[in-house]
Amino acid sequence: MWDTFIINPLINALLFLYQLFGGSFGLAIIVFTIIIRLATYPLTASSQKSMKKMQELQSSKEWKDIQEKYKKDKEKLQAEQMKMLQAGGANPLGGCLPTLIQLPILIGLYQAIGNVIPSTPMQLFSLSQRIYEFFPSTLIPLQKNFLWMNLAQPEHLVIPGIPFPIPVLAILVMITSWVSQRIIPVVTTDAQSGQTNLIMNLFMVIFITQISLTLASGLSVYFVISNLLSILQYMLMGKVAWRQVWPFGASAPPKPAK
Amino acid sequence: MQRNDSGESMNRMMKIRPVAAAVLALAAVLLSGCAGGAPNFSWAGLAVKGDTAFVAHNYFVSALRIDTGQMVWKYPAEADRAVTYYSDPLVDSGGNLVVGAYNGSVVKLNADTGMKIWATEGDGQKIIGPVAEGPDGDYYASSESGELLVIDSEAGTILRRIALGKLSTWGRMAVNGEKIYIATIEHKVVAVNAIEGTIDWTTDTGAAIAGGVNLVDGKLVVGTFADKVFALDPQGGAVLWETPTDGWVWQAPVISDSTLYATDLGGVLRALALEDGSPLWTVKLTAPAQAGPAVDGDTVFAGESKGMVRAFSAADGAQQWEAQLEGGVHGELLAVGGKLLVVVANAKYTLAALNAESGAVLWTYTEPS
Repeated sequence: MWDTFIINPLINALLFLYQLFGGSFGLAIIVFTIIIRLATYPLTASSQKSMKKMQELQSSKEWKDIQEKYKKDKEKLQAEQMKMLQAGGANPLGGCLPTLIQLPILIGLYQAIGNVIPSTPMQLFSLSQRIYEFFPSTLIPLQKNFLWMNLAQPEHLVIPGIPFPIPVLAILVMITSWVSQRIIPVVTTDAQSGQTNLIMNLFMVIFITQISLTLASGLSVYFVISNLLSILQYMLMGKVAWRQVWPFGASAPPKPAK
Repeated sequence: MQRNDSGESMNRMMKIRPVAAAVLALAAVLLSGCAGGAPNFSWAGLAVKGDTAFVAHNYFVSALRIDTGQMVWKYPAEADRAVTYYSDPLVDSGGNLVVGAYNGSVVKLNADTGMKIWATEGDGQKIIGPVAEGPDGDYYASSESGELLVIDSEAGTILRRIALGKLSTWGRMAVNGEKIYIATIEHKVVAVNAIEGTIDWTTDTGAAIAGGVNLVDGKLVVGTFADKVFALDPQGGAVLWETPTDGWVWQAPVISDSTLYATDLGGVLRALALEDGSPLWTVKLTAPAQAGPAVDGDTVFAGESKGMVRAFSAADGAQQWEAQLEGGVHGELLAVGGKLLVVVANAKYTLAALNAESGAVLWTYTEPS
């Protein structure tokens, strides 16, 4: 089921793009990432809209009045806040949906990249059972080099004069992941939630960087392009919080309500 | 009631981001876990010397008694997680065993005791195909990087590296006089002058060749992913004939009594005349056949990727028996001493020995943990 509906279509989509772009697997991954981002754009946009509404509500005078009024009854406070969010058309769960939708794509893409660029006979046999019949067998083996990278292997750039290889792509993944998470304006009502938010962002960046260091660099290309597109999207929306990008900077303080 | 629902929703809101982070973290751990040994996994390599079979799989090379399947020795005594073996071992002219590894090293073992004679340092470039013994007695190993390593058979030192133009070999090489013939994944068959270290000729077959090359009766025979079997002239590489098949031909066709037998991923076993490639008979199997066929006297054996093994009459393709094994049959089948040795992947065992007359399973071998 997973193979038929996720892995195999992803593999063949990558093969189609590979063929379309003259045998460059790197370009195929980049275009594939853009397509995935475009396909999930309605979800992302709606989630961002919902988050924006939520932030507006959270910085309003009414929100603070409720906080003050029910500060000794947390349950009542949460219920009232929820009522306000619902009345204002903000879905508190909406922000997580794009992240969760990307998860199967991410796992599928990892498996697809591993299958498309086989480095053992068993992997090649697996690929042979997944390719749709209309692809010419002359495509095999795929050109796995892109710029300085072998897309089937973790990337390290050897620079003459430097005694150790540098994981350039993993560093780019780390930076773009951090920026794409931190430029989203987050209104925090207290220092503790701002701190929690910062720790969660750090946690995510560390894990994504760890993946980039250990897995095929084709997946890291996906991460970098996907992050850059996120950043671009927020910039086009005109709502970016560059101050939050600095790791030790505080989250945006609540603005006074109009 | 409304109050409680709203309260719960708010609680969910407060909890959802850590949950999403945890789910992604779990995915990260799972993905990282996949970066270990799994991508390097393949089926076992197999060779035979007298009454002993040699199996190269995962971290060990093992010697087994063919009559009982009992392990005689294994190398190394303790697994080295950086070194995995999957290529068919070479039994050299001196009766020793030479095996390439996925870390790029080559090890020479005493075939009787499993004692290491020497091992080269690995450079991280996989050696997937079997090592060949050259005309000068040196060993030739083709690495993933497209180099042909020439290794001194006595000392185990790398004498030279012959550049193959980034062509990598996954199958068996053929040696004739001072020539070594190499079939490559990058579509080409290459003739190398082993003494001079030069490339004599290169022929492009138009598709990948995974299974190596056989040289019989003045013809080089290869199967390709373009659904074709080719016969080439070993002198200059000219195509003597080509015959279409029903799918990718993975293993090099085998030849017996001027007849060539080939299996393909379209699930067909076919017999062709070696002289001109004309079809003699075909048999439709029930699954893709990646494993190469084996011939023993009047019988041809074929294994399928879904575990079925069948025996056919070499004369007309009439089926004699069939046996269902676990997992899938891969690599090469070997018929020896009335037994058929079958390499199996994705099963509880690595190797099965079948009675070549009846197909009854005599024993199975599970690699050391």
